[in-house]
Amino acid sequence: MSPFAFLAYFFAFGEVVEPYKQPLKEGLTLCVFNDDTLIFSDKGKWLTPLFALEEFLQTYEGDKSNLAAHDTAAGKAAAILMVRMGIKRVHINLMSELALSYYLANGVEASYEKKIEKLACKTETLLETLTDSDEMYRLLRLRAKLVRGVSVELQDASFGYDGDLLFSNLNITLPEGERLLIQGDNGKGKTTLLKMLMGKLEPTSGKVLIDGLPPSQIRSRTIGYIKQQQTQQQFPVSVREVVSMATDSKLSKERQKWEIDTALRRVGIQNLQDRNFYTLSGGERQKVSLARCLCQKARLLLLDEPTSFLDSTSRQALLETIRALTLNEMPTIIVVTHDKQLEKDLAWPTLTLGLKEKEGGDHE
Amino acid sequence: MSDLLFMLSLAPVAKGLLAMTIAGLCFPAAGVMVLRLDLVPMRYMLMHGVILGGAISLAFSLPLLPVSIALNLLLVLGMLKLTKDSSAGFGVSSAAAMVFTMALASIVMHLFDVPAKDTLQLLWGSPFALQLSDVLGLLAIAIGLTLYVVVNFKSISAIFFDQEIAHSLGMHVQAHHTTMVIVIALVIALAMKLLGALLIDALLILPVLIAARHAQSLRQLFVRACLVGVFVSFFGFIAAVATDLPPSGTIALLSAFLYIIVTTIQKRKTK
Repeated sequence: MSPFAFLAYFFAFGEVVEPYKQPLKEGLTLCVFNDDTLIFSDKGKWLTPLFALEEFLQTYEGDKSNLAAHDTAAGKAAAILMVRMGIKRVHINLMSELALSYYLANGVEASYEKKIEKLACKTETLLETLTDSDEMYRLLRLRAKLVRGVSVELQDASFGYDGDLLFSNLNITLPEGERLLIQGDNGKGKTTLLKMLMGKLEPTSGKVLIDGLPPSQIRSRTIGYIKQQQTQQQFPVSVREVVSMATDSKLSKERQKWEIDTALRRVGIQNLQDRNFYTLSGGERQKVSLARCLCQKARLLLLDEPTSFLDSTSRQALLETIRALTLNEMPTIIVVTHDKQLEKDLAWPTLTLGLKEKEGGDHE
Repeated sequence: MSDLLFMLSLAPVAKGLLAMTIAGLCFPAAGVMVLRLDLVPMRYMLMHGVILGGAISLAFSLPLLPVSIALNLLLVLGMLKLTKDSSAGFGVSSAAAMVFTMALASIVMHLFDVPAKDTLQLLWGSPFALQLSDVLGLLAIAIGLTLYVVVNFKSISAIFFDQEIAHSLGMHVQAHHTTMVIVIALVIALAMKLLGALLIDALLILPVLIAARHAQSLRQLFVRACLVGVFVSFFGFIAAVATDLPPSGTIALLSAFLYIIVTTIQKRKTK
């Protein structure tokens, strides 16, 4: 705002209006300030500017403790996103009751020019009764199609060795970014199922489709695979080398380095990068494997008994990293385990092998 | 000292030193592959393949090196096919192929009156009897091996780390595996003639085992194994010339001593 406009505004309203409450410049739909300094603006519609802001804040190095935003309209969806980003003060031209209560419940100082009961959009309706912040956030990313995951489909899939069927007529339909826990005792075909999804084994009958294609035809690097950490090998391979093997060779060296550093930082193992992978604890190895999959930008993550051989601290750290993945990148994730506690910890949809599919059951 | 310098200035000795230095610098990279892909039994089979090649070349007056290389390639390709078509692993196939090659070598030696001593001479190598073409062949394989490792380092490290994970990363695991097996076959065929069986272990395996004691990464392992390799081959050869001992034994002994020293130091440190 020019000094002249500021003075005009001051004389018209008789008080100093904080920058974030001042009218938006023509064409802009969102302005974000750090104290009184404009740090971000966008002209997009719906939640697009807020997701752009989220991305911007990931690399913004300034102080984020006193962020203020001016938005043209805010329903509960916008409120959820702004609260997650740590915005402390908002001024909204058109605000819904749902948004206002969400802001106030989360300690955000909110003002508005016009308030309505509810925004007339499907997202507002879907969020109306939801309370879990993470689930609401996942829903928003799904609706915004900010999901890395691919669809996974098993159609009447059966597999067996020498006539002995491990599972038969298995039907699974997972949309992009969904999560599934597959349980079953040893020998029920959990790992075999993962190998089928990876295209290493062909189903005896039925179909396996990843992103609508047979596994052999999908783009390389789609699937990130994390194996059980049980091998006690003594071969030198550094953590950084393990993570770097997943980078895209088509990227420049600088970009590859950045991706490796980012992946290591995200799972909190920068300090381990020069260590030999095989000298790490089980939990640390799982973190390295997750960093590798992050670097790979895997769209389907297959985890085979991820909690085996982990102590409780490592197990907790692993679960937190998996939860963070389901909220940020949102790859499609399939975990196979015989760990019954994991079902409670993750609270994901669960399919039990050796039980339901015997009757030709399915999971959707 | 002047005697040693004079000896080193002689063409056969100089060529031998050059060949040893090249082999010492590059062959440990093949040793990393042998150890990591668990191809130790195949290495023995390939050494037996060279003995069969020696018997055939002596029986039919053919040049040893091309015959040995061709035979080793045939054996390796046959083994790859056998491993692919059956549930037998590389170790089992190697053991079967080893028996087959030795049996065939003994029959060839018997039928064509090939003196066993001449064939088994291959076990000791002949570093002082190298032709320029041998050194150039060695150099070509050394350059090929180095380039293959440098260009494909990411794929190689993924395959060494875990073949299923390498597959999930879209790497051509089978193609790389076959390439590495063929590279090893070439290296061993060449090394047998130039350096002998003893030196294959001294230059392929021991430098890797020594380097692995302290290496934290695969890159370090490759670099350190090659440095150890060039150290033992260069100084071992010079020591052999200076003391008039056989180079293969001297180099192998130096490697073994180094391995014992490094292992002992590490054990003391960990106590």
